[in-house]
Amino acid sequence: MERAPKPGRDVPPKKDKLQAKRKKPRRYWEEETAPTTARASPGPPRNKKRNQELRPQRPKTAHILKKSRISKKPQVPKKLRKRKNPEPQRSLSGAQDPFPGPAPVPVEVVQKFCRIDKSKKLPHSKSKTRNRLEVAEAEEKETSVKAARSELLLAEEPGFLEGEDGEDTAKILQADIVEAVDIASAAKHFDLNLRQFGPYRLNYSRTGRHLAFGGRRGHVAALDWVTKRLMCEINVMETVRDIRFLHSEALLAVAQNRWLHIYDNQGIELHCIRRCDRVTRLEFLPFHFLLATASETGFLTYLDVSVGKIVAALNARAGRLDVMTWNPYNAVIHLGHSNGTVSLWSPAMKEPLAKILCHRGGVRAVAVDSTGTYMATSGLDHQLKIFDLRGTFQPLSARTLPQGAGHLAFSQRGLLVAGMGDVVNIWAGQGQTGPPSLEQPYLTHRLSGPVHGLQFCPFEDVLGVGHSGGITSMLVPGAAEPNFDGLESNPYRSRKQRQEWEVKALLEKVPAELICLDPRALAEVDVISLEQEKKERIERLGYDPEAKTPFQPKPKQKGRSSTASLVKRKRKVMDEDHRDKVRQSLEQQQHKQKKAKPSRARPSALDRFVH
Amino acid sequence: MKVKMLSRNPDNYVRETKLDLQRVPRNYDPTLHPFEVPREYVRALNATKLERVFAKPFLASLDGHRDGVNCLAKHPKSLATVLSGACDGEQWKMDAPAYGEEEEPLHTILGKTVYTGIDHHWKEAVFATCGQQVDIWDEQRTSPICSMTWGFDSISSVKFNPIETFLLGSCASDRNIVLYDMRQSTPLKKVILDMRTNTICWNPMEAFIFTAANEDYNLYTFDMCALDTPVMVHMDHVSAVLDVDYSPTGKEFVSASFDKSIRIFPVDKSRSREVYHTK
Repeated sequence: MERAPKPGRDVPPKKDKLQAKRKKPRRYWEEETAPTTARASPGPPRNKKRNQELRPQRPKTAHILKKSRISKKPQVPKKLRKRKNPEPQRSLSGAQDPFPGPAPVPVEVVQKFCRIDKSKKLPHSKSKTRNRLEVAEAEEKETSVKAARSELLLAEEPGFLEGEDGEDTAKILQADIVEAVDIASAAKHFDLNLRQFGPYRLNYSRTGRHLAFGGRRGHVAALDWVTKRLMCEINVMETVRDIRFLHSEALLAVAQNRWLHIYDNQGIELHCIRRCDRVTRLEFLPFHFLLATASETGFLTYLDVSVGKIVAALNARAGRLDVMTWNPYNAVIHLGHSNGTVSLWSPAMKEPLAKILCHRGGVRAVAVDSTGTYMATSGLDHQLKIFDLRGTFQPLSARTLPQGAGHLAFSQRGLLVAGMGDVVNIWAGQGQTGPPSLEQPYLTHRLSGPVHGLQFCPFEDVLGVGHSGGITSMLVPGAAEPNFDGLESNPYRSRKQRQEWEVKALLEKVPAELICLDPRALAEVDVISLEQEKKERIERLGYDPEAKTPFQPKPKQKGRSSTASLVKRKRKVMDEDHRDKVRQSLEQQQHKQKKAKPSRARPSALDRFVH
Repeated sequence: MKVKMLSRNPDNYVRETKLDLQRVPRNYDPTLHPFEVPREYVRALNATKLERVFAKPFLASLDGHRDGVNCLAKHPKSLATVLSGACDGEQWKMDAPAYGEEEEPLHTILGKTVYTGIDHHWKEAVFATCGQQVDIWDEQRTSPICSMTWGFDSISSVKFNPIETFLLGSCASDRNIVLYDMRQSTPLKKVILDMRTNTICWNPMEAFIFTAANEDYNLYTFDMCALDTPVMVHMDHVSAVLDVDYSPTGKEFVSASFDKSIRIFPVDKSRSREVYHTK
């Protein structure tokens, strides 16, 4: 990359000296302020010296500002950095900008937009690759700061609920919240008394605008819950075990007693899929157009709803499956088993991707938050645990509940709800980083029957609860993401927008083989294939083209290139390399010894038989 | 208790009239846009496939000849005129939309040796033929103005430079390319390659650049001023390259090969941009 030529480069040095000797012409504002002697207002800097004082001062003061603020432009490698220092702002009134430089941006927000994992190092990287990576990292820094600044344009603020003077928010009733809130929000709280058709399970569509619920005795309905407009209401004359919207509000999947049925939102039965029999739970993976079903027969089946084919039917080998959830970050299915483990599944592999031991009894509920960082599980041992999914799979916090939680759900902003019997408890986290703190619940509510289904509505501060008495929609201030993206899920989309979105989503449908624990795996350098190719190239060529050429001492003149001295120099380099190798191997040996020592710490009585 | 619920005013999100644009608020938070890498991968794959689907290059097949078509010639000024010659001696003047009829030759010249190539000067009424040597002819005369040769082997093709119109290039069967100067009536320079060159073509925009179509499956772009190394080696064909022609922009050229394919190469790249083939 070539830099633009310096402005003064072409001018021969003699001219510079001449220019320095000549006086600079005075500007009109400098002439006006020159005669005044009284310095009531800080005038524009008159001497060059004062200018120079100001210029280096500015970056210094910037560092004294709060630690968590980025107050100057990000450091980019020299090639991309701007050449000029910005002049101090001068206005006609003579006032100076008290906050010079660009506005500070909080570091956490910038961190949110960073995607490159800088801890990973590439082996055998050439200088070209390293240069390109450096440029990419510098660009990412700049763009993340710009994206963080653009957050200013987001229109909505999240909700909140604060108690006054040590008031416990958990004791605040829903009725009180409804009174204190505006009419539109109060209308979002409603109770549907449906005692006749059994305990209900419910599902919100991806935009949060439509609600589908199914009662155990066959009652299935879909409605636009904001305008309370009923789309369809039917009785399927069979036990309904679970219900899910497919990619939009147009299609419903209902897990009935024997088989899986797909209905239109007008109540017309479209498909009866007999290969999925005795399904207990359904999950829809929206970006892969996959419907995952967990059945009593112990099979996890993935059905591609865009082409209508069963992509994978995996035998979980753990008996009856009735605890299932999906991870929105990497589309991995989490199954909870009766031996206390949670297994992670992808349609590409016959074996689970991971198995995590969570509880001492059976696992009764699993939930994963929207960033895929935390997994909450509850079991028959009355424990509620939160695990870290993106690093170590270790439990972060645990809590004993008076009654086991049979249902768990996370909201978009990280609130966790647990349904225990006929009571729901909601825990809130400290900000958006970090798991919800399980010390004190944020809100509680008692329902008219035991809970059978829980889901937070996607872009509204509402929790939908399906119980044996019907459906309840609860107000939970601060639960939802306030600013949606119009191109992903837009609750206010028109029919045309929905059609366009559907076509684009189908074109971008991710193939099921790409589901794995790290969704960014495709963007990484495939180190294994690289090394494989290198081996093959060495075999084919017979030698390693990238190996270091043996050191050839340069034949130096002035009498220093006698054979003896050349041999000496060669020997010196060889000895140095040898010493490095020996040092490395010694370090490795020490490491191994350290690792081996603790295992041999305890001598047992059976040792005499080993040696 | 202080409480505030998230409540959106639909007026801010729904358009007022049918004639307005739809409002699309944006939030670039990565949590709202999961699976960036796989979706981008699928989009890139689809774009490549659709680009191939829409690339239909075949326009028309100009039928009429009763025997194999052996040579083509373009009119330097008229876009619609193309002449084609067949192995049985038929010539056709393709003047879109109608095909032309045969015409009687104005002048017939009998030579002493076999002529393997012919090319006309871009400006003057002069043409060149090649066989055993390169002859420069005036249109009115029956014997060549001058003959040039360098070496003892037969010469397979000759081409005039469109910009420096006194320059000629020829390909001989002893693997060399010879450049001639018509003003001084002498050969100028020679470059010997590993295998025989079938034809050369001069770049219509760059005065001294020409591309040679070689038997060793490659095309070599040379600068006349420095013939020791080629400016670019174009490698993509899998069999001998038989003919090459430049686009009038001077940025690309098309090459035809014995492997039944036609490739379009950019001048500055060593790989082809496009490949066409019939069955």
